[in-house]
Parts: sequence; C-alpha cells; structure tokens
Amino acid sequence: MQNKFILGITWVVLLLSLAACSDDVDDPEIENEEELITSLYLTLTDQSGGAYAFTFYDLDGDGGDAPVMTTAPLPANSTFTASIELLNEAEDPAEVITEEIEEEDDEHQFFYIVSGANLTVSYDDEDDNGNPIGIKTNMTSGDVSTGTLQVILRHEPAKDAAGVSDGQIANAGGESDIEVSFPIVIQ
Amino acid sequence: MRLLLVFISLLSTVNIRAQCELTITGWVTDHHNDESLEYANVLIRESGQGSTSDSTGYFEIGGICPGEYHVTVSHIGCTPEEVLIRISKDTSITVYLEHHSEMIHEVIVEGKSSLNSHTEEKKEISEVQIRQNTGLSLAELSATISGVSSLKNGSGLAKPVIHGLYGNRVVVLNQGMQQAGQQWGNDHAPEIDPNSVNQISVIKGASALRYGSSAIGGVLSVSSAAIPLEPHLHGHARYAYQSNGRGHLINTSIYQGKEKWKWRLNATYNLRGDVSAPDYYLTNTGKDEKSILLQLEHTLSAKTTVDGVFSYYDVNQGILRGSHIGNLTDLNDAIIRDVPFYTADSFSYSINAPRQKVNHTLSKINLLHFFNDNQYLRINYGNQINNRAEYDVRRGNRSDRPVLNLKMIANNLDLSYHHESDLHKWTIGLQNAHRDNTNNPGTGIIPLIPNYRMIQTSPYLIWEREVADVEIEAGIRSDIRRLQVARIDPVDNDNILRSVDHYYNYAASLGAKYHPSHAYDILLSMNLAKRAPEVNELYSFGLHQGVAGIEEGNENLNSEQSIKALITQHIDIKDKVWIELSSYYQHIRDYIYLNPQSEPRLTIRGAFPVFKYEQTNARIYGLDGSIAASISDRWSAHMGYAMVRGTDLTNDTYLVFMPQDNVNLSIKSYVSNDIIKNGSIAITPSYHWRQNRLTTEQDFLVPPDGYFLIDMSVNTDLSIGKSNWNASLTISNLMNTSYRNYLNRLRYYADDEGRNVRLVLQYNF
Repeated sequence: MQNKFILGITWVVLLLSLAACSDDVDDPEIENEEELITSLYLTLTDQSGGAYAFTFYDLDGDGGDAPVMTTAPLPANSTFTASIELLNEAEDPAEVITEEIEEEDDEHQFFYIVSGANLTVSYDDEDDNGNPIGIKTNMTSGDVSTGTLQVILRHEPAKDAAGVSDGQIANAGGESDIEVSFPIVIQ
Repeated sequence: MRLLLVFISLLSTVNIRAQCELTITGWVTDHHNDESLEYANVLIRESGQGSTSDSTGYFEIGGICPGEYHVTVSHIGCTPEEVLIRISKDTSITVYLEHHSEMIHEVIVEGKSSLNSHTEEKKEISEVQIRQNTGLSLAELSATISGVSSLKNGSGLAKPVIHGLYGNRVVVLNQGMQQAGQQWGNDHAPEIDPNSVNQISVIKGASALRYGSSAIGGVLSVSSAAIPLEPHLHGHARYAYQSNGRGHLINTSIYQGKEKWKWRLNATYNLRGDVSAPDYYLTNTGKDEKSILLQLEHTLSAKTTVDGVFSYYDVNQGILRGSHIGNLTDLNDAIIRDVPFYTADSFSYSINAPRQKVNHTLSKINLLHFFNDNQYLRINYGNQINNRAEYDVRRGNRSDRPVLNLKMIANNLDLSYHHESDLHKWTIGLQNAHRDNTNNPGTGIIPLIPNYRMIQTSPYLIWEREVADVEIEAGIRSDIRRLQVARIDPVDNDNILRSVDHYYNYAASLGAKYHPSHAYDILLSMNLAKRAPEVNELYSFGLHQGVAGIEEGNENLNSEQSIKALITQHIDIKDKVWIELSSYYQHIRDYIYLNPQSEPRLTIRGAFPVFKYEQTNARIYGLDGSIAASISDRWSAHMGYAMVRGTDLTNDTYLVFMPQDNVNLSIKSYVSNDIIKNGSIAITPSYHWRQNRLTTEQDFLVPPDGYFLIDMSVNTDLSIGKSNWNASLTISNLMNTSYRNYLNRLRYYADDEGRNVRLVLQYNF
C-alpha cells in the first residue's frame, strides 16, 4: 500500500520535472548610467580673450566607437586662465558632471601633469577646507616645446597628504574617474 | 566523520537490587586492534561518579541509583565517546575508542557510507576541527586539507581551490544540492556558515556522476549529519574570540531525537572589525555574519523517513578600502606603496563601501523510502534564494546604491533509486535543476552578468561491485542544459539581445579500490566530463573593479572536456605510521580562461587592459602526500606536502592562479589528568614556496616571495564538576611575519594578516 503511494509520488515528480516550465526570462532594465562621464572640455583663455580647446569624448561609453580627442597649439610665453567641464552627453540634455564635483569638492581633485612641454599649472580654486579642486586653474607657457598634459580626476584623494595640495599626485590615492593625456605643442 | 564506534552489550543479572546500590562495569578497548586501554577515564555525567580503567581495560563504578545516565569515556589521544544507558540492574558495557583518531583522520580515507561512493578520494573535516577553527570561513577551513587551497580576496572572502581548480569548476554542495550563488566571481565566497553544519568534506577525485559535470575540479560538500537518537535535550553553547579583528562569535546548537521526530536548531552570530597586517590595520575588512539552521527528521514508518532543512545566512562584508581603484595607473600607484592608501590609524568595526551584502536561504525536503532491505528510493526537493548586492565607492552619494544587485532563485528536484544485491549495487537517478538569475534594476550601471534562466536535466546510472578485497564503481551521466539569456547590447545600450543555447554533455567514470590488507590500499579513478560554459564566460561584459581590467565574454565558447586520473595509496605501518600519497593528472581540452589582449582599451578614465574568455588545451598534474606517526602515547607528528603544476599546452605557457607548493609539519603532545581530558598541544611550522611558474606578461606584479609561518594550538576537554567543556587556543602566524600570498588577490595592495590568537570555549549539555 505504502509502496504504491510512494511510486505514485515518484511518477508525479517525474512528470513535473519533464514539464519544467519554460516561459521567457525577463529582460533586464536598461540602466540610466548617471555617473557616466562621456566628455571632457578643457578650455584655456589667454589674456587677449583667445580660446584654446582640448576635448576628449566617447559618447557611447567604453567599447564601441573609439573616443575622439581634439587639441590646439598654444602660443609661447603666455598666461592663460583654464577651466574644465565634464559632461554626460549620453543623456539628453547633457548632464553636467562638474556640478556634482562642485557639490562634493572636498572629495575630488584634478591633477595636471605636464611632461616635456614648457607649461606650468597652478590651482585657482579651493574647497571649504582651503584645498584645491582644480576645476579652475592658471597656466603659463614658456618657450617653444612639445610634450603632454595629463589630466587626472581623483575621487576621495588624501588631500592633506604631502604635496597633494601642490598638485603632486604621488601620495593622493583615490580612484581615477578621469585620466586623459593630451599632446601639447607650444609654438 | 563519526563512525559508529560504540558497541554496547548489556549483560543482565537476575536480581534487581535496592536503590543506589547498582554497579556499572565494563571494558575499554582500542577500536583498531582490540587492545585494552589502560587509564581511560569513565565518568557518569549526571552524578559525577567516575573511575579509571586498569591494565586489562576494566573499570567498575558502584553505588549508582537506577535511572538514565550519560557515560563519557575518554582516553589520551582518543576521541571521547558518550553513551546513554538506562540502569535498572547491574550493567556491563564495552566501549571501543578510536585511538589517535586525529592522525587516522588525517591519513585514512573516509569510511563506508551507503550513500557515498567507496572509490572516490574524499576527505572530511571533523566536528572537532570545525569547533577548534571557529572563526575561519568555509574555504579557509577546507584549505586545512592537503591539496586544497583557498583563493582569497582579503580576510574571510575565500573560495576553495581543489587540485588547482576553482570557481565554476568546483561544485559546492550545500545539504546535497549545488549551492546556487554567484560562483563565477573570484571575490565571491560560498554563502555558508561552517558552524551551522557538522559534516564538511572535500572530494578531490571528483566523480562527476553524482554532482554534475561542472565538478571537474572537485566537490566541497557541507551538510548536517543525521540527528542521533537521544530523547534528552542536548547541545552546546560556544563562544569564540579572535584577537586580530577583535572578533566575537557565538554559536549554539540544540537537538533532541525521539523515535518519531528529531530536530536540531543551530544559530551563529559573528562580528569582527578590521583585521590587521603585522604593521598596519587593513581598513574596512570587518564582517557581520548571521546564520540559522533548522533540521527536522520524521520517521513515517519503519520503511519511510522524511527530513528537511531550512537555513538562512546573511553577511555584510567589507573589502579593503585601499584595494578600490579606478584604473591601471591607480593599480600601479597602489602596488609601489608599502602601506595601502586609506589605512586608518585606529581600529574600527564599521563596514563601508566597498562591501558585499549577501543573503542565502535554503529549504529542502527529502524523502527516503525502503521498498525492502535491498531497494530504496530517494526524492529530494530544494529551493534556494540568493541575493547579492555589491557596493563601491561612488560619486554623488551613490555609495549606498549597489553596483551589482543580483537575485538568483534555484529549484532542484532529484530522484534516485537504489538496488543492492549481494555483489552489485545499482543507482539510477534523475537530477533536475532550474536556476533563474535577475539583475535588480537601479544600479545605474550596465550589468556585468545578464539575466538568465538555466534548466538542466541529468539522468545517471552507477554500478558498484565489491568482490573480496576489490571494490569497483562505474557510471555514466548526461547533462542536458538549456540556457536562455537576455542582456543589454554592449554596443548599443538601448537594445536587448536575447539568445537560447543548448548543451548536451556527458560524463563517465570508473574507479577501483584494492585493499588487500588492513595495512595497504590503493585507489584508482578515471573521470571523463564535459563542462558547459557558464554565463559569465559567455556573456560577461564590463569593468572588473579590483583588477582594473575589462572582461569580455565569448558567446562562441564550447564545452570543456576534461579527463582526470587519480591514484591514492594508504599505507599503515604497524598502527604506528600512516602514509597517504595521492597523485593526479588532468587534461582539459578547450579549457576556458581569461586571456589578456595585446591592445589596451582607451577610455576617458584611462587605459584598461582587456581580458577575453578564450579556450586552450590545459594540463594539470600534482601530488599531495601526508605522513603521520605515533611516536609514543604522548607524542605524535604529522607532515603534509602538496604541489600542483598547470600548463597551457596550446600557447606553451603556465596556467595562472595555481597554488604554490607548500609543506607543513605538526608536532603534537598529549596531556590528560583528572580535569584536563584529552588535552593536546601542537606546533605547526609551514613553508609556502614562491610561485615561480608564471611569466611577467601574465600578471601586473611578480608573485610574492615564499614565506615561513608558525601556528600553535592548545586543545582540551574539561570536566568541571558535572559539566563538560571544550577549550582551545590557536595562534596563527605566531611570529607575526609580514608576507603576501599569491592566491590572495589583495597581495597587490597589502600584506596578509598578522598574528591572530583565537580562543574557543564550548559548554556541552
């Protein structure tokens, strides 16, 4: 009697397992990548109002189409005011990421690392603790030369570590949200 | 392992005497050679009365009142045994103790059990070892077995590596079902509390038949043992402290076993703060872990039993703050630093991003029905729900929003029929698995792993035969898998790609064990298996934090085909020296691995190396050996050695993440007196060689140097009055050596853990 009952259960279980449901898997929701940074615009303005634009954008994010970079030659022995803007242009209208950085200015710092070219960069802004942010800078070009300008944005750097407030990245730590290297031509 | 070692013979005397004048007499005997054991302590727990055995193993306790008593018998170097006896007249008992059980355990393969194969290489971690190592994670605990290592992502986040393979190639069995978690992630630990269970075993020569063809590396099995028939409420309360991380753990287990119903309840709470390397804190490596497990057994009739398990596990685990990086430049900056970024000056229990929050619920019901003595049927249904949320340091107050948020629901339905005759034993079974993985929306990041549904049906057949001193097992299995995937198109993020893949795979195995005498046995096994590519290998796409690499799946992957041969020998020299030697060779065709691509990908966050899943032919071989010796009644020694070699045959290079060679030696001294029962002190130095088998292109950093560690442990059972306690003190990394382990992914950033003193105190009732 009990054996028959158990065999009955077995058949039910077997039938159930053969009739395993096969409805479709749910589609993933398309995520709104609010944190995505697609574009960097670094604009240098000389004293006579001439503008020099350095841009880097990758509108479809990582992968897909290759990113696009534009640069401009800089005049020798000049001083510039510079400002940087980060955008998420995958959104329409584009989202201004720089605003988010201004809101959390104590957690962010831009670093400008020059190699080869005769160009010096100094910070022209500060957060509530008196440490630099690097959205606004002053730049000075020297004699004719070529090289690179690397722009790095660090999230949660140690701003109080040695040299960091002077723009030296070595002790900063943190995560790089931006790292772009522009070729520089001073003529 | 808990062999049924206690054999009680109740010899009755005719006359029933007056109250409290009864006598218990008996003999204490060595289970292995039937020799009498002198100086064994016999204690009646309820009354505190006791005695010691004489040179013939005989003991006598008089003046006992009629009633039910728990009698504990202990002897130096033996696992204590407890028996429940009902006394209404003078009674005589014989107790068999397993002498040097630890050593035997360390070197002798698991005994027979009707549900497990005889011809596979299986190693168990005893309940005593689980208790003494309270505080270790499941993978760290399994790594105490020779030939098993753990791939770590800092403290507590570890996954088992068996014979050089891990992740998708090692099956974790939780209560008999494949653990349904996100096993693909190298930083995803099995979601199981080792303190909640009492049977942990590793099967190295994985006979894929019973566990599915993913088990080409091996199997780590975790389960609750059958509840003993014990009408009184029993259990333990345990507290463990660890100095490194200032961890506190409490665990309790209570059980009761009546004829019809048996139950066990186990609960654990574990809180630990930042652990530290010898010279600095590893900031944000704390852990907050809870688990509860309820086990029930019901005897419906003499032929039918039903049992069930419900368990819930929850963990919130921090990941070293300094290991969270943005790109390859950050990684290089981190590598050149001695002390990781973000290292705090003080200790903390707080757990911030980056962290993982995981919970796992398991419910199962199992029916066992005997048609007669030779035929039985088993039906097992299980459901698992796994939630995993991972948090990174994010901009704009988004650190409390997970970057990865997955929910997996799995159902398993297994059916097996067993038929035994005098010579043959047949098992025919059908396993059904259904697994549904969904990305919970709202992460703001394109998911690394797609939504998918996997359905697998696996019929199998196993034949076993035992003739004189040879046991043979052979079997075949088929895995029919349907994988349905819906994912966001990596090129056009507004588009959904849907696909259905089918895999028809098979496995076959043949094993034989020849045991001509008590002193020698040899086990040979051959396993052939095809493993279907898992969803991460096929479709993962995105940035893998921690290693600063972009990982790309490959939807054209084929199933891997593995053949593994294993030979294990056991030699017992006069019950004084035990030797185990295991060697294996495995060839995997179409081995799936992450191949670094020559062109890095330029993004606005810098350049990232790209890793693509590709296939090659691989060869793995290795050797594990151990030797244990009983030097005297008071001293023993144990030595273990393991090596593994992995080669990529197609590209003529090494396989990455192979464990480094290691050797350990343990010297143990036993102590016993009236209060300290079964006490021991052991010192265990170990050496881990540098992993030299790697080219500079295969890693960002050369593997760390070899290192030498010393561990020490003191264990004892205590009888204080009528109460029964266990205490152990373990010091790992006694010399507080700074070192880095090749298989710890945090080695790029920080030293491994410094000295850790762990104290475990358990009260048994």
